[in-house]
Amino acid sequence: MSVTVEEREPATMTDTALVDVENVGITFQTRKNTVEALREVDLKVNQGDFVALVGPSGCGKSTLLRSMAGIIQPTTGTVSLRGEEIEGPRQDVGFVFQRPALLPWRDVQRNIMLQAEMRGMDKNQAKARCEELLELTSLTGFKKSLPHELSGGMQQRAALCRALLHSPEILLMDEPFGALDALTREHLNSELQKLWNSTNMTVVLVTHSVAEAVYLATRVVVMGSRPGHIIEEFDVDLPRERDYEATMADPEFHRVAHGVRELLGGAHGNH
Amino acid sequence: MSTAITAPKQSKEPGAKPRRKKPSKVAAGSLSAMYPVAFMVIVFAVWWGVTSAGIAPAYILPSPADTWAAMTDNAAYLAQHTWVTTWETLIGFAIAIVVGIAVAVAMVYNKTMERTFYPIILFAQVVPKIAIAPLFIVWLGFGPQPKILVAVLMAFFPIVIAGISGLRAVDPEALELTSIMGSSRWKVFTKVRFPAALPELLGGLKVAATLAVTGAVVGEFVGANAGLGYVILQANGNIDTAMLFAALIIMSLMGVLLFMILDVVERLSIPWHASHRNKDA
Ligand SMILES: Nc1ncnc2c1ncn2[C@@H]1O[C@H](COP(=O)(O)OP(=O)(O)OP(=O)(O)O)[C@@H](O)[C@H]1O
Ligand SMILES: [Mg+2]
Repeated sequence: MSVTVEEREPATMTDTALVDVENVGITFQTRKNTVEALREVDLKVNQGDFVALVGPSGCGKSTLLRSMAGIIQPTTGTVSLRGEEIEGPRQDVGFVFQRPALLPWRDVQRNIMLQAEMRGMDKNQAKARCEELLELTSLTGFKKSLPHELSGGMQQRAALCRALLHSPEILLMDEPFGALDALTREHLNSELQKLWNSTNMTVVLVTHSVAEAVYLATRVVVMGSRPGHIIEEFDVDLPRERDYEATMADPEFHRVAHGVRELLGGAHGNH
Repeated sequence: MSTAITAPKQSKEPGAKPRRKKPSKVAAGSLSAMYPVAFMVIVFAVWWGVTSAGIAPAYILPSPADTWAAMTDNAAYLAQHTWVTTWETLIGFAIAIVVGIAVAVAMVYNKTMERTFYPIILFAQVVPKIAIAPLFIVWLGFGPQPKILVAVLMAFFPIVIAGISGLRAVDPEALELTSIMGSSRWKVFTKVRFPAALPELLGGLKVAATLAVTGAVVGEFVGANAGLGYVILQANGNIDTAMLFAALIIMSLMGVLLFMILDVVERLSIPWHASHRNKDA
């Protein structure tokens, strides 16, 4: 793995991966038919990695991400965390769903604090952390607003704050910025980049944007559909700390982006 | 409402905008109250016209004045019996709420409970209450207990049904989220499931409240020496139609009042819900 961390070389890198998806197949049984969402998926995520999952709609990205959080159990194969097989929902992860999934009766602050209440975290510490995160996502002025008073993008930012409140080691995000305008998206991408760079956090991000994937990730995983499987993985040989403009101009960025787009076909050409 | 309050603050503007907005809101508000009031006025006018023209004799249709007189002349008597029915209704309603929500929760959380209780509940709902009320008198005597039981039975069903569909209405992703948060079932219930069920539950409670009144009176019809149902039976026996009307009006007002109280509770407890958001838009 080409994780470009010089100063910090965790021992786990060569031993067991942080998240180890081994030969996973997931089949959904609905009333009418069976859907094979994933087949023979192998993926290792190491401590400190930033993995981006890209692929056409319905190829099982959300399903794969859910299985990493233990929300879905694989039909075949195993998902392990630090060498231990996942048997139920994991509490040491932060999860951002494709939809914000905020509680409509709680204002932004109390939605974020739900995380603290459920986990029994120290209230004052959690409050302070909440303020930090609101600041980071430019939501400070809206902490007393109810979800229906916010735009879709603001709701998604609130959901991101909620996922980060307990400072999880692993952050799993399902198209968190899909509903945002380009500028806000760029801004949040930079913030996420800094956040990941300044912490030891491991991130798995599902996205439809090839540019976003390559800018943020240390590894881009391209998936195909029918049934969902991994086509190829690209290591992104860029420094850990990335400036937006400079990265966009870097030949390595274009090499990977081009490779990914090639696999995905023309559909993603203009992202 | 909030725009009406904040409007004066924006007075830096020429004033045309807030001024235009404010009266329209007030007019809309009083207008919505005007329709039922106007309707009632018309009903009373027709009622008054029919009786004063002598079309119907007083023992068939008493005049508004006769009814009013029956109310004021027997104020103490009516108050005493209204009080009895009110208590039976409220206690029956309260029991129905507690038992109804408990059963709904049990049925949502446990498949076996659902399979066991659902047919029984449906059966209890289908049996005409007026037909089983005499049985309750045999079992429980002439006191308030059988009336309360009928009120409970009437109010119970809509609460259970609303409770079940409300508790199932929770966002599945919100539930997945709580599983990642490692929440206890109790916390998930109090902080996520129950609040999510409130809009539907409160709708069910409104229906149940009016049914509780009916239940108490039905219970009184079958055998009682107190309550508005008893007053109606007595008045009927004496062909005192004015008194009968007075009791009917009080009974209806009781149901309406209970409904309105729940409406206020609803507004206060789920201001976030779409049903209230759109109201003054
Ligand atoms: N709970 C479920 N029950 C039945 N089928 C499901 C369920 N969840 C997902 N699927 C099916 O599994 C397949 C993969 O779905 P998934 O949501 O993982 O795709 P995705 O890659 O996230 O798509 P998108 O980019 O549109 O979000 C789809 O065919 C979908 O219909
Ligand atoms: Mg998805």
